[in-house]
Amino acid sequence: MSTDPFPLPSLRQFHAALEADREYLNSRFRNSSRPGSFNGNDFLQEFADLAGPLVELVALEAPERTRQATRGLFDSLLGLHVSGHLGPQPKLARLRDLWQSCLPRARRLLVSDAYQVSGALSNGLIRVAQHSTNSAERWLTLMETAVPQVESMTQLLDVGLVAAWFSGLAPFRKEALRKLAELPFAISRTLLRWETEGTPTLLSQLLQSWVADPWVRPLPQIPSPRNYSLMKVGQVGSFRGFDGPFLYPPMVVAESNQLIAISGDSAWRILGDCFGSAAIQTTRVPRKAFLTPDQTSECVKLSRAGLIQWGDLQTLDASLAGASSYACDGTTLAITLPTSFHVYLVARCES
Amino acid sequence: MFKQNLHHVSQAPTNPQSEQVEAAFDVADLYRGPVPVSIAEGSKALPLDEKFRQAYFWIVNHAIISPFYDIEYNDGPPQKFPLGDRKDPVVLPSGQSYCSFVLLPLLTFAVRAKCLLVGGPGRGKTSSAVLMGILAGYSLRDVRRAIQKGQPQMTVADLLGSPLPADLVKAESIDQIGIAWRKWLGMRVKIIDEYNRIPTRTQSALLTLMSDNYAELYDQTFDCPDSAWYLTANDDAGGGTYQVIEALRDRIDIVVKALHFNSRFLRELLERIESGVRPEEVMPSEIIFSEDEWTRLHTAIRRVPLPDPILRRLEFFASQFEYLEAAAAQFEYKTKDTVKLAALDWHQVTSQETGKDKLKDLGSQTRNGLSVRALMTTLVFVKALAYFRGAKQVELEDLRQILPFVLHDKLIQDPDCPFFELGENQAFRSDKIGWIRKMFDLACGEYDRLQLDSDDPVLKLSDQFNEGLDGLGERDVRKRLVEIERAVKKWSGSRKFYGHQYDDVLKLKYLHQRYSNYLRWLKWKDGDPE
Repeated sequence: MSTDPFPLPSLRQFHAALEADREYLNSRFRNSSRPGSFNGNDFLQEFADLAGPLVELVALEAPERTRQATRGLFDSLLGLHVSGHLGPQPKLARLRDLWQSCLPRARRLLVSDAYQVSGALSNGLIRVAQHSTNSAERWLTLMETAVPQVESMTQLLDVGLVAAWFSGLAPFRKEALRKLAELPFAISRTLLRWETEGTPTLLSQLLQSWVADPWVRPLPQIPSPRNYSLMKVGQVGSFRGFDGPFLYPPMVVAESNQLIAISGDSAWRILGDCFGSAAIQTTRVPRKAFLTPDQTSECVKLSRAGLIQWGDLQTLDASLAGASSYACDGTTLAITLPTSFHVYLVARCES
Repeated sequence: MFKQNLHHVSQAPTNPQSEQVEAAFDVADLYRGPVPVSIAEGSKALPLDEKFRQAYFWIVNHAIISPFYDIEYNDGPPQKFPLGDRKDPVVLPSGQSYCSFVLLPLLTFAVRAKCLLVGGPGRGKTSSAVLMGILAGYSLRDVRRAIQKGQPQMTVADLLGSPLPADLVKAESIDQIGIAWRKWLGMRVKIIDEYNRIPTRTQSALLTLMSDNYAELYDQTFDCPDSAWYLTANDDAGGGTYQVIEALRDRIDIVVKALHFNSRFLRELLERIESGVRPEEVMPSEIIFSEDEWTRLHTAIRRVPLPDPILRRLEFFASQFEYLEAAAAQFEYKTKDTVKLAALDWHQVTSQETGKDKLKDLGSQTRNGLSVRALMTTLVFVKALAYFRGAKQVELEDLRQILPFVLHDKLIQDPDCPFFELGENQAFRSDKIGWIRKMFDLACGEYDRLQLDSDDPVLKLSDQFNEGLDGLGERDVRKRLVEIERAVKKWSGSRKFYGHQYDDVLKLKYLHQRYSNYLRWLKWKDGDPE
């Protein structure tokens, strides 16, 4: 059953725009680089399904922009079809949801530049989906709720960046923190899912906390009292054969306050926070001795049995017994096992 | 040219001398994908000056077919080729050069000035103004509906608004009458099409708007926001259906000519017709300025430094025009303005002028001097041009390029001056841009000949005065007074006395008076019984 919040009686304006720009659109199609298997009829059908309602929305807002919007959405969809991300066997089926449920909420932005808006959001979803399917789902949900409040293209990109971080793409954390501070509070609150709770002051405190500790949970109230415990917060990486980065079981070191995983002759920077974790390949391969269990680091100690002692906290995790290496950057403890292709992350979190 | 993607805004820096920002972790990866969006290279907003240039290049590459580079800059000696019977050169500039018809309306937008677009019908005057409206963030529909079209039946109510009929009936006093003000009054870009077809009475209402930025009806006032104005006229002389009142003409800050259509670009027109795309409908959002960005742009332009040596040359140039010896006996009144106010015959007065080489004297070429308003406009526009080019400060060439457009309607030429009788100067009777630029070049030449950069006694005395009078004793004051009197005496011996010397003498008189007053005060102070 359709839950389309934007029911439209017809595609009259869309059809009028198609008729007016028929030659232009046909020439765009002819001049595009399409694979041999490309089916024009499939594309046309999807163009009508996805772009038609959006053009009608643009026509309601600004009739004189209808043709421009049609051309922009045509180019955008053609690019996605040519790349295979849309079509009868799409690489990313969720893109249709983006076009059907998220883009209609950005009608004001579509009026100003339909091509850029649809293209940027589509590319964004594709990128986030490369991280994980769950991330894509979460990103799409966040964007659907935040987009109606966005007033400009620049703001849309910033919102997309913050949403990407919140969806688990840890490499965007640093830039997203900066953007989050600049966005209007109403949008930040939406992205944080605070509903009607939270205040700008609390957000400001949260941002400052995140600079020091990436594992602080984004709660709309500060819990009192604050109780901390050590807990496993994630795992990063997997065997290359399973789409992961590591050819050999990795080992970890800490250098310049960064966690580096080394597998063979290659190295990856390990990034983790309350929203997710990632391994980013780096060209710099540290030449440093690995810390093994029972060797003490500056702040943490790990025993062969899997007992972790970190300041005044300690925990026993038998699954981490017999570690091959461990390293700590001050906020995150990374542990590797000799027979595993994962890097396990432990942090001091509020329980 | 038109087949290029209209959405495309150049990613290359438009002025390679701008600083390159070091690339950090590339968050733009988030937006790279199968749809090649131009913002994929970076989610950061463009620096304002770069955005400003991007706007120019988008307009000149995609919107207005105006392939002219009449604002010429050179990095080194340019190639020049004499052409035609007169052997006037065509210059191939060695530096990045610009089209006045596109650049000057854009500068007007940035500094919130008033631009008059002149030229024959169908040359893109109104289209250029409409683009500026869209650049300010208004929809095409709003811009078009807000254009005020001059026509002989235009009334004040058409221009400003009408009293609410119900209020007219009910009101017991005039201040109770509500006014339905026209929407265009609140816009940041205002367009008046064919302003020389507005009747005189309505021109007066327009004058109040343009000069004082408010509209008045039935004792109610509407304060308009700061805005950029674009007026069009078909006739360069400002005639048309009605004579434009001088005060209104004087409010125009800059005059831009719509240049002819170069027929070698007819294919571009054909492509535009065949594609059915209008550039004003597809302006990329990246080059549209929000109100905040527009304000910041204006602030940034005003802050562009104008070095003293450049300012000094502008002073020297501006001082050439006002002096007219035969106008009065009192030294301060020896100006062209005195003659104009007396409504005397110009030639009758100027024929009494002797003692000057009329070929060399720049003042002989004009019937008026420069007003304060014209000078202020020059200063603002020259900063805007420097900002646009990405320069750290105003350069002499910026002044040389912008002056003719600002002074186009401000300096009234005396076509009977012997200067224009010379063969190579006859074209300047019609080519006002070339004429003003030529005058500036001649003024700079004279400035160099007099070695005023290194030997300017008036500047030295002014700087000395600007250090302040605190602590200055009577002896030092008398010494300075003697220096001033000596400087004036040096000129009194010469028969030839030119405009720049006139302003210098007046400045010396000013300094003399200030020191004299101070001396009187010193004497009074020392003579004080307490």
